[in-house]
Amino acid sequence: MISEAYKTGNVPGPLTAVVVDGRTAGEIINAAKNPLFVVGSMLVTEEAGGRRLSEYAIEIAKRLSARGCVTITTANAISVFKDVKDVNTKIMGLVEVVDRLQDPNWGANDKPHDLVVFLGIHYWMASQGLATLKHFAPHLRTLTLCFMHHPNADWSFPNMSREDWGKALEEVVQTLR
Amino acid sequence: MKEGPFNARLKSLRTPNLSLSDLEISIGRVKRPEEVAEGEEPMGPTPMPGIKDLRYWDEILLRRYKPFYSPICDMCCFCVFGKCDLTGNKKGVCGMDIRAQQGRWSLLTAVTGLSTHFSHAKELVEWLIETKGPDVPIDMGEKTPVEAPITRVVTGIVPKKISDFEPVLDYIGREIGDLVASIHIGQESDPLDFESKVLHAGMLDALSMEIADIAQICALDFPKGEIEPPLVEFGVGTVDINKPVILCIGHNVAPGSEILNYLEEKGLTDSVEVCALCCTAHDMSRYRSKVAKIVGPISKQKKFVRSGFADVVVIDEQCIYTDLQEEARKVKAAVIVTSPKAMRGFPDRTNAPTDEIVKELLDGAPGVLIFDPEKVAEVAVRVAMELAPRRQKYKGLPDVEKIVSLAKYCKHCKACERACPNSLKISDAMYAAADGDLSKLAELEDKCFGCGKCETECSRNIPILSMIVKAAERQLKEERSKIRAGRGPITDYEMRMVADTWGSGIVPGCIALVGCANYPGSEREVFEIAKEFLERGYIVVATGCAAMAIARYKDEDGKTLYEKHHGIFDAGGMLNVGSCVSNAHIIAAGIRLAVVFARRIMRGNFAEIADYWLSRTGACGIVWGAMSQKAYSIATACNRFGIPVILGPHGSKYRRLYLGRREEPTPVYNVKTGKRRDEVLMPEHLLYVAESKEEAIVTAIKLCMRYNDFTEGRRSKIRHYVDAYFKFFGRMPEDLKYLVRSEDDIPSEMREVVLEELKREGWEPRKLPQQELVDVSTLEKEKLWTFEAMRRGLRWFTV
Ligand code: SF4
Ligand code: SF4
Ligand code: SF4
Repeated sequence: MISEAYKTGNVPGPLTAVVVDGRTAGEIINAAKNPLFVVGSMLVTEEAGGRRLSEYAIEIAKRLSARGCVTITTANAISVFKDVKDVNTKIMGLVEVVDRLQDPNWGANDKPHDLVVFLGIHYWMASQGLATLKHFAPHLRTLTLCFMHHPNADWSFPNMSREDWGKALEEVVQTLR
Repeated sequence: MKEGPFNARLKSLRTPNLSLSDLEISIGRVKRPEEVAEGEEPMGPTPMPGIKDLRYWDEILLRRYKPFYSPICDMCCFCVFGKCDLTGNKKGVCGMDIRAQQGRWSLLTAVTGLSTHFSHAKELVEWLIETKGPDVPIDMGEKTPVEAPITRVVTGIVPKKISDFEPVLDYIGREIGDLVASIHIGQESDPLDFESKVLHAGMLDALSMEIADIAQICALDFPKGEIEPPLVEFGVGTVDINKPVILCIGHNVAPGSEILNYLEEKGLTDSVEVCALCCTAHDMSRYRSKVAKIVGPISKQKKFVRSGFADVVVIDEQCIYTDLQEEARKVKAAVIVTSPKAMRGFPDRTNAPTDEIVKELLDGAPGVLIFDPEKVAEVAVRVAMELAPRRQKYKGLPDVEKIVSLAKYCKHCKACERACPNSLKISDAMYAAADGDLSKLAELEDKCFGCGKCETECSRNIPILSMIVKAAERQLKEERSKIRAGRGPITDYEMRMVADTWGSGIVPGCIALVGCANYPGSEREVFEIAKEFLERGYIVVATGCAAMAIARYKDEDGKTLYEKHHGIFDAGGMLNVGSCVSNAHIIAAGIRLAVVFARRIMRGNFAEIADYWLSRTGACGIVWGAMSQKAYSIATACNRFGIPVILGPHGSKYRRLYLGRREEPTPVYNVKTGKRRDEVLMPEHLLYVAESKEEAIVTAIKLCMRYNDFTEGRRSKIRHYVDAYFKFFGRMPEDLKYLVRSEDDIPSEMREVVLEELKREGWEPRKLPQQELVDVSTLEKEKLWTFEAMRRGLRWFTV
């Protein structure tokens, strides 16, 4: 299934994202060997399904950390992890991490990644970062967990309300091992 | 020194207007340094460089800061071989791949910005020569003997009178031809060569801006680097709508200044209200600070026109909504367009009798095109005075009752939010408005760019922007503050005062807030960024829309930052430099420092001066609301001069950044011995996009660090970096090991925590003598022309 881009003008080309639901998204993350979770500025401002977006981000980050994976916090996202334990975070600018991900040998935990998961990044910055990865990082798959559909990803949620977003994120969390 | 390039360059200097003695060029070739009269500054290696001549400098930059591409379109539809899909590693019919295609877009964008400033400069110089004569002296005041640093550095020319800019403009025009030719199918193919041309375009953009601003400063007597230029009234609320109102919009001061002249001549200054938007507003207030009022930046264009306040709208050039004339007609305001670059379909009435044009407009003609600024002035004033009583402030906005009913009609499909550049929460505001609460709509105003895109997407034709403006009517009417008039150059005198502290890093940096108003959040963020840096003792300079965004807000004491802070180019100074073209003075400041602090040769010596900026001079541009092609070429101008720039999130759609990687050491050279060593890359990036205001602030602090920071200077920069990290993120930065050279760089009050962090990161102090640390260049010894000239026994006076 495909969806219209959240920003209606964002029609990049023939290759567009496949729409997934929360459970499938969780399974994609489970199936990846070394997923990298990248979270952005919307963690500080957004809500999903009546909860703070940061709460979902922290839960996902915790589960990934338990698998030895890293969460990159871009912009001011690190501020929501301030008193959180058991999470392996690193601070980088979004463009800095995307730049390095073009190198198939680079890993935030010193191991190459096979999946990059975006959540809560400014729409256009995320879209442009995903475009870089689509063209210049053929070794990677990309998934976004935002309520805004991203055609430049390999997998993306469809456009959805904040309510449905909360449910989808809950499904992701429940599915993650 | 090779002979060849000089001869080649000479050809490109033969123009009908060229005075060889003025250019200090001998017949047949540029003077060689040893031929220059004793005491005269020798010419550097690259006067009037062509598209290939500074490739060596660009290679240095692009090796350090690799182009980072983010295609916004996977397709190419540039020629009729295509349309071609370039996704991944596919190539187009012509052989072009996606990377080169981004380079080509980058060049197209930069050349568009450059051409706009070039054309603006050319039009201004021609008009000023026509009206004031060719001999208007280039006199920037006694405190600024180096009148045109960029012109000197790029071309080697020392302009004495306004017509001396003509050969410089000829040179830029020729270079634009070469740059545009490189874009054609089947020409350039290598991304780095595209980028070298992009950087060339940027440099020429800086030159164009300098010419435009110096010409208007000298011929129209704008402030010349005054530290306390007059305060100008700012904001929608300052406009007296009980008088006939003329609104000028754009970037070219010619029509606006003539309107002010006409009113003075006729004794009507008190009878007609003259206000302006965008850079025309800056420049009109530099011309007559007590008369011309500044309404605001581009985001206010439609808001103000729709409010119906203006009786006559005079449109000149650049960054003016292309449907603004329709907006004006809806509120029955008269429209005069004035630029050959934006004729907007109107009939050319330049040669028609004035009475006839006035009558046409009063009879309801949709608009007229008049190229003669004097005639524009007379028509605008006469029409405004006659039309105002008839319009009686035509109301273009819905009343409160209507807003409530319109909001009830909203079906909450959010098509508007998806179309809005900033995805503003319009649907929520509609829910509240339907219940009679307009506060949520009003809150959107300072985040709203005023584009009207939301309205074009609404299937129910709800006039969303008008509703926002009406809801915010009170706050807009109360928007009244003061901005310093654009001061123009940073003076050599100020540079002498600040050279030691800025050059050593003790003044931790100069933050330049420039560019458009396409902010990711509230306009207020620009004010907050400025305030943060002022309180930290940085020098804050601003131009264009950003300078206005700063003026819009007041601090806890009810003062704008312009009223609160001094206007000197020194720690804690808040300077409005002027309009977009005044950005040249910010770049020029670093050139002045290289001359004052290190006596570097300016003329024709681009790479060395740019290296000085890059390796010594702590500064960072922030283009938080980047939108236009000009903003891209201005950023690129900074980049070729070695100045890092941070863009707001929308800047990611420019498709290209210049990013470094801190973990990859890069070669540097000792300026005296030429000895090479590998160093941590500094500054870390040349063109970066930040996602949040906080990220922009901490990154700008970091990007103000330089190889040549003295210990005290680096210590101060580290202090701000760590402090800002704690303030915004509640923790230590993770990259200190790249920034701290030795324990001496660590501020004493944070010594323990920093050392602990450094230990965790496996930090080792650099084992180098202090002097070795601060004599660094990114250029090899023989490319540092000042030292080469000295080795050849040349001696000269520096201004
Ligand atoms: S310029 Fe090249 S890539 Fe573009 S449409 Fe033509 S053939 Fe295709
Ligand atoms: S597009 Fe129109 S109908 Fe839809 S939410 Fe926006 S204002 Fe309402
Ligand atoms: S006018 Fe304002 S609310 Fe509407 S699309 Fe433009 S920025 Fe968004």
